[in-house]
Amino acid sequence: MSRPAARQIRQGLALAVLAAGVALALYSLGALSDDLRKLDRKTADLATLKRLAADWRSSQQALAPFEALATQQPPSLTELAAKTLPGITPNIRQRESQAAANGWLARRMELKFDAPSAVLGNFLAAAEAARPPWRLVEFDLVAGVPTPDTVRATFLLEALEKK
Amino acid sequence: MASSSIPRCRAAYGADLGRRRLVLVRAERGGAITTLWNSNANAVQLKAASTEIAAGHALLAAALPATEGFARWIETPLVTADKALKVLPALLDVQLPFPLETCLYAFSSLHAGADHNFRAFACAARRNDVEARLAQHRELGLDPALLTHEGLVLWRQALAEIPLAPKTLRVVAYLGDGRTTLAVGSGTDGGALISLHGIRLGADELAAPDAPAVRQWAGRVNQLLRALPADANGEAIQWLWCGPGADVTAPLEAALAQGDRVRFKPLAGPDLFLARALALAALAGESAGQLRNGDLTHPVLLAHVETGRRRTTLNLLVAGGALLALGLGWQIWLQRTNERLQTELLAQAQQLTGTANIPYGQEIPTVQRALKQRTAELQPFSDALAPSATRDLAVCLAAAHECRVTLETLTHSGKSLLIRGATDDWNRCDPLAARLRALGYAIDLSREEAGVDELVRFTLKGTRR
Repeated sequence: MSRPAARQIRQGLALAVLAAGVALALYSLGALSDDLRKLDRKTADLATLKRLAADWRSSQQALAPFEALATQQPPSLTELAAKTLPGITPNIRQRESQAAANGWLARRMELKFDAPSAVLGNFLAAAEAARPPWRLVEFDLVAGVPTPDTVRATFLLEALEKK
Repeated sequence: MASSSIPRCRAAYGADLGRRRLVLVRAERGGAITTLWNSNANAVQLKAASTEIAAGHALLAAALPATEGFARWIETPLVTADKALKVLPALLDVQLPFPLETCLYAFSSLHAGADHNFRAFACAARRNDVEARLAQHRELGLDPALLTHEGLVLWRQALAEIPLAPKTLRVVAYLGDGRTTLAVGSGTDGGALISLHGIRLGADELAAPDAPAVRQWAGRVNQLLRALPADANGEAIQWLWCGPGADVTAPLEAALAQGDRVRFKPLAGPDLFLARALALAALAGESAGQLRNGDLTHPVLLAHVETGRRRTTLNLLVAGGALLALGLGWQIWLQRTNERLQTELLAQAQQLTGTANIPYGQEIPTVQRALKQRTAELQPFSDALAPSATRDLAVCLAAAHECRVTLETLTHSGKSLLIRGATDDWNRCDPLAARLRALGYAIDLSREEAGVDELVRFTLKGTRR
């Protein structure tokens, strides 16, 4: 092969490599915003999944203290009322129940009674100190019924129990 | 202007070869100029110089006498440089006394004139004369890479050594042993060359005052001086002597009819001037008037051009390779990052759903659907650990007591709170509202004007934010 021909081949090769490099660079630059958007979306999706996983783990952690309880049945409200509301017999009515994880049940009870306002705190403190606890969800108090010194109280309480 | 076709060596040699005499100088890039030979050309022994030149470490530049060449400004009717360059050979051909095909030529100083048309300075010589000149050097063991029309280098070196005032006319006169070369120009535009002339009479013929050769020489030169434009400033024409015969110029100065219009002056080291000019031009990579071109081009210059081409090719290849590597690297990184993120996404989704088969791109909705039911089942446990309504009840009762507000009804359901009551002062409900706001309720408080019992009745609605 003559020297000019060899030179032309070398130059042609160099130009071809340069053209390929430029073409690839242009293609990469052209697709850059799309590619980065895809990466951003995937990174954001991964962050969302990690957040969901963290929430999920946090929710699962809330289950642990209940599973660890020696008794998984809340105390009777009638008994609690008898101890903390002397001389008062609440009208107790079972409300809706909701199935929870691991065979637990969220049970709601409505209590209606008339009592001096000073003793309401005793009852509620005892209910929340129980294990599993009775938790006050809703309440309605009407003062001066039936006597000026008493309150007509309606409490909606919820407790978790294992079936 | 430096040419890329001339290698940049650390040293260059300039050879001024006359009829019998050789002057050879060596110029280094640092500025040092050494005279290696300034004597009879028959017994020249320059082994060290020849070795350095042959090894390609130094360039040798020689002069083509003006008597052997043709030099002239070529005017084109074109206003673009590219087109002007294309027509210059044809225009030169018209002016040459020989066919262009039998000549070697070079153009320099291409520029647009006042009329915007491009012009260039052409140097040409018959191929036979160039070959003969090269042969003269080879007989002495010298093979010049550059063979330059001597008029151009004389003019440029004189400008470099003695700057020329604008509008002043100058003649650089080289007196060799067998020839005279005249470079004529003015100080306009930093030193514009007007014309080059060669006379086949040198110091050998002109040393005797009354020799007929002196009259012949003076006749030619006077004709040339008469053709020069009158100097606007009234200044004398600057005449600079150089060449090996610069010390025998007295008869010539006396013979010039226009001697009163001319101020004579020798250049420094006049006998070495042409050789020095050639060496310095070669060192600077100056290629103007270089007539050893075409198929006579010196192998050193060919090799340099080839090296330049190879370097350019290599640079292109490296640049292309770098772009390719960058582009491919980016694509590979992009693909791997995508794959890694997708793998992580899938693993997280599978772990959270307990399902292996999750459609691509549906990870989030699938996980959300799967967790919705299970989260709902765990919600009572989270609620059980959160503060209960007992806290709000306690705060309401305590605040009512502190604010001396009588509560009639107090209802809490879901996120809403409703309080109805009475107070003996319009403003007493405000601290109660503030306490409830601190618990996170948005409060809407409405009050009625005091009635006959002088109590202000109010309704306070709170909504958990």
